[in-house]
Amino acid sequence: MWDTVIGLEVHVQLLTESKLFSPTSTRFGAPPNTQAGLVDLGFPGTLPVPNRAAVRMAVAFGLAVGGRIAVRSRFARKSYFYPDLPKGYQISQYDEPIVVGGAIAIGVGEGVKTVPLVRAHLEEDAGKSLHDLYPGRTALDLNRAGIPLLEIVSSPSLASPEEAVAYLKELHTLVCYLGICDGNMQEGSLRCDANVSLRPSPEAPLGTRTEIKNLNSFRFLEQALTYEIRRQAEVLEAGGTVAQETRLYDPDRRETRPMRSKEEAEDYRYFPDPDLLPLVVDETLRAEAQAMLPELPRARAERFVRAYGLEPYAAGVLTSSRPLADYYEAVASAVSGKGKDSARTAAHWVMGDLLGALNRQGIGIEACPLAPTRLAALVLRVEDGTLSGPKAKEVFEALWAGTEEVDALIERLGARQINDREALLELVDRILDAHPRQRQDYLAGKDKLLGFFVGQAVKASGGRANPQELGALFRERLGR
Amino acid sequence: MRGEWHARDVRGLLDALARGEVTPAVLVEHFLERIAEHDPALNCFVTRTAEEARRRAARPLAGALAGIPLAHKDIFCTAGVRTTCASRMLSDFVPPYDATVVRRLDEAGAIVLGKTNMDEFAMGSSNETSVFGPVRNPWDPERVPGGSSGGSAAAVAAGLVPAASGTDTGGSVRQPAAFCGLSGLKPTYGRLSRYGMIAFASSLDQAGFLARTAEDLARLLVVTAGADARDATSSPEAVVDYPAALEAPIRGRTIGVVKEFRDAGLDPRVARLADEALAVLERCGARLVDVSLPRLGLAVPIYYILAPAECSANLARYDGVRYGHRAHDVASLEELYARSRGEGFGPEVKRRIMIGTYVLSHGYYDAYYLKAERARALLQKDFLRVLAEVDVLAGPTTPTVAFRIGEKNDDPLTMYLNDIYTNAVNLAGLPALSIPMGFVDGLPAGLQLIGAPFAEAPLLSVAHRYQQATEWHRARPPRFA
Amino acid sequence: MSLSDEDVRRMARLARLALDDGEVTRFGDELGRILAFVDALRVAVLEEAPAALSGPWARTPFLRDDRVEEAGHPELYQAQAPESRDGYYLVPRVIEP
Repeated sequence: MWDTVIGLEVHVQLLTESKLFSPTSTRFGAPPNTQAGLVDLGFPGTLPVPNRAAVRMAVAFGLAVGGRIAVRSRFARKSYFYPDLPKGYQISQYDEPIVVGGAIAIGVGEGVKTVPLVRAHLEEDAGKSLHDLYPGRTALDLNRAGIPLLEIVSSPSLASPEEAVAYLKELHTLVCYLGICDGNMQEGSLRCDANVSLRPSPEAPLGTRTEIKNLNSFRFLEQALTYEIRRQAEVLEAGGTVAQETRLYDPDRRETRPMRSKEEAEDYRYFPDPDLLPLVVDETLRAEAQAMLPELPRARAERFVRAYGLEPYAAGVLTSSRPLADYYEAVASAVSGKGKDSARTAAHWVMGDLLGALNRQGIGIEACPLAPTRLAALVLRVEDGTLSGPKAKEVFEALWAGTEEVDALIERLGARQINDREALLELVDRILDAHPRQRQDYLAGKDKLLGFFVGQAVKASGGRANPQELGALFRERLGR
Repeated sequence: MRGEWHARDVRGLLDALARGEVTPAVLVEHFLERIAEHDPALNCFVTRTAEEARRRAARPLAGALAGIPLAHKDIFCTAGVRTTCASRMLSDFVPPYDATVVRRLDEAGAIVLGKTNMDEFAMGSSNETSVFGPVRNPWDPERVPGGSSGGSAAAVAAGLVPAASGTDTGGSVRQPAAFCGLSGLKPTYGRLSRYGMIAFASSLDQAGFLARTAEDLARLLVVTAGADARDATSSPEAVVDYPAALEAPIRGRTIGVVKEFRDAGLDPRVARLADEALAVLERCGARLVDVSLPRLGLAVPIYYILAPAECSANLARYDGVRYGHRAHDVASLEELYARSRGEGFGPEVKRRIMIGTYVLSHGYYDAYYLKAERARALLQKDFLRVLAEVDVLAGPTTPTVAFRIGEKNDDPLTMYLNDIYTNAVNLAGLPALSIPMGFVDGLPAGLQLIGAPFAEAPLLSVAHRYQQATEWHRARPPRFA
Repeated sequence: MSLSDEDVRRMARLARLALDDGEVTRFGDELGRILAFVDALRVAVLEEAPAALSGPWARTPFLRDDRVEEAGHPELYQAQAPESRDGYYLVPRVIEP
């Protein structure tokens, strides 16, 4: 057995309107080069001017993970030639990043593990090379060039592919919560490179690591790491040594392969970008970042357990994204104090029928057509006994599909639960009269038939009769 | 009758325009004729914009420089007008936008007659590295006009335009001003926007002007200075009314005479002229104080580490992909890069890219780049300490007067050492100017005045007082009179 | 002092500059002399330097508000490009690993 050491470098695309150093749009999917301005194209004479919002987002991230915010940090030029890098250098941060340290807590089994971060720094994205568009040519779309990225570097302290995935998920939730990333991994809004090495024991020095590039889904991250750990173990067990190299994951063959070996080691010739003064995070900027910090997922889940009496599991599900938690909280605050279980009933409805309906229609909670206040009205009618379970589902479907309010729907659908003793007794008598044999069997000791009677009565009432009340009345009529 | 408008300075032309003695259209025709007649012998202009200039002169113009013909160094991007940096790399490059300096001069009503020759990408001190060939000094066509803003300097000296823009990374405005008998200003780093000014070394580059008088420089500066949202290094420091500040009294000002400006290599005849110039300033009421900048000797080595380092990255964008020269018949991307750049850049540019690449490369960064950065900060500290005690520093702009074309081509180092008095000023980010202070064998020499950050106003007023007391700035090269 | 051909070629390769043999030799000699000259600095003993430049550099930098104020104009900008098609810039195909 080997001790596995994994560290992740995650590139988070910051959710700004304009680019890191230029006033062109960051919108995804525009026609080629229609969002590549003069600065993005590296036209002679153009200069970078940093985007305040991107800096604020980086600071907010730093505050959220408890990192140290550098009052003074620097942008540096990282030089290399590639056609999708218009200036011949990428503006990044090197020895003076904006965020140093911090940590992210991940769930491991039943417990919680704290993963320390090394740093987080701002840098600009490169453009896109398309190799298959024209024969013999590579086509360049530089719309993405200059989009702000926050590169978040974890310490090498993840011990398994599962932990790596848990970390990436936690990071994903966090940056979405902070509103600094849209989290869309298909569009490349969150991209991950992984460093992996093995050693004989946790006390041994770190082994030689390989870097796996572009692991852009949770599944690929897990598969690639699993493959790579096995590969390295096989190399080591055969008495070989792991080569320090960069590898790519091929999802079709489920294996990692070395990238074409370079003739020479990269020499990026980093130096401070003379077009940009040292970046200063003053009190104003720090306060702006502080103000944009929402309650973070873990704290919010704990509060949901405390304030709304939710199970930890439900609280976890409901805080898995900020819009979902906001939605639930809107429903819960509208119903809380009105009925003893109203906030839990609200959780049940949000996690059950509401998410189900959203899934069916393939829309996210942000685009939910049902306002939280309308769902809250339904929850209250369940809580006060106006609606039975089956009728509530019926009303929910009508509520989802239309614009009518809950009370009007209850009337129109005749969905009001029958709680009236006289009416229920009449129903009980009718059912007992219709099933004399079952009545005798029950009296002879076949208790299970009580459910049969209640079911028949509910059915006869069109689902409106209150089943709890019916059960009591049957027992009363039958004398046991 | 043919006017003698080219004998006037900007101030004189503005007065004539204001009195209705001349129109912008007449001025444009006059200077276009001058260019047509004399430029073939001098090679100042890379591109002429006669038609645009005529069209512009025909329209009503407003602004502090309304109707004044100008030329721009061919390093400033001009929308729709070829901008070459005197390089094969950009010989067909037509920028889709205007540099901020160009735009602000347009808004002030100036009329651009063309783009001037220069050292390739501003790398040179003689205007000999231009792909368009050397510019000749109007005082002696066998000699260089200085560089890199050599075309602008020669054009103003020969009366082809009354003033021109330049850029100064290590002396590229002041040294040609000295060699051509002009007034040349390099403002404080960040005083003028660098947007649209094609970069050589970003932390050193600053736009400046070449004109006949300090007064004209003040008029050019006041309409171009000030922060620009497109240049993060441009300064928000308030812009002073420089022309109004010209008449500030010189009496009581202290002038620091820098001991190290008289080191070996200084032509004794130039040294004598500098002494005489200082004596004039003293007679005007300034107090002379001896000062020392003990680390000045490190300036050229610092400069030739940092400037190439920055240039090696700044010029990486010229890769034959989005604009500029692309080599023909290339089989691979790597070949495209190497051959486009190998063909597109001349020897001096390649030399500096190579040095810059070397000093930034793995294993050398600390020894060269980092050490140079530290030494730069110390040098700047020295300057600021001295400038806290005196108003202005003074000394010769160059160790010699203009040298012969080809004279220093064999050894890049002797060329580099020509900028020994000017490099340090860019490293410290200070404003400085050069004004004519006399002649050595019929060739002009310049007096350099250096000020504290953003102290352009006192600098210009001292220069103005000097020019009120002397006639050197009125001298004109005889064959272009 | 002269820079070895190997060093010159390594720099030329990093800087993507095609040099002929004559240039390699000439640059080796010239760069060697320039580096020997700047070595005056390398060997200079310096006291503790300020952490950063002051003067025009001593200020809080300007940050831009996050607004879109410019679009790409592929047709206009690609008029300067040696090779483009359908809004894309084109280069010889890059062989991917």
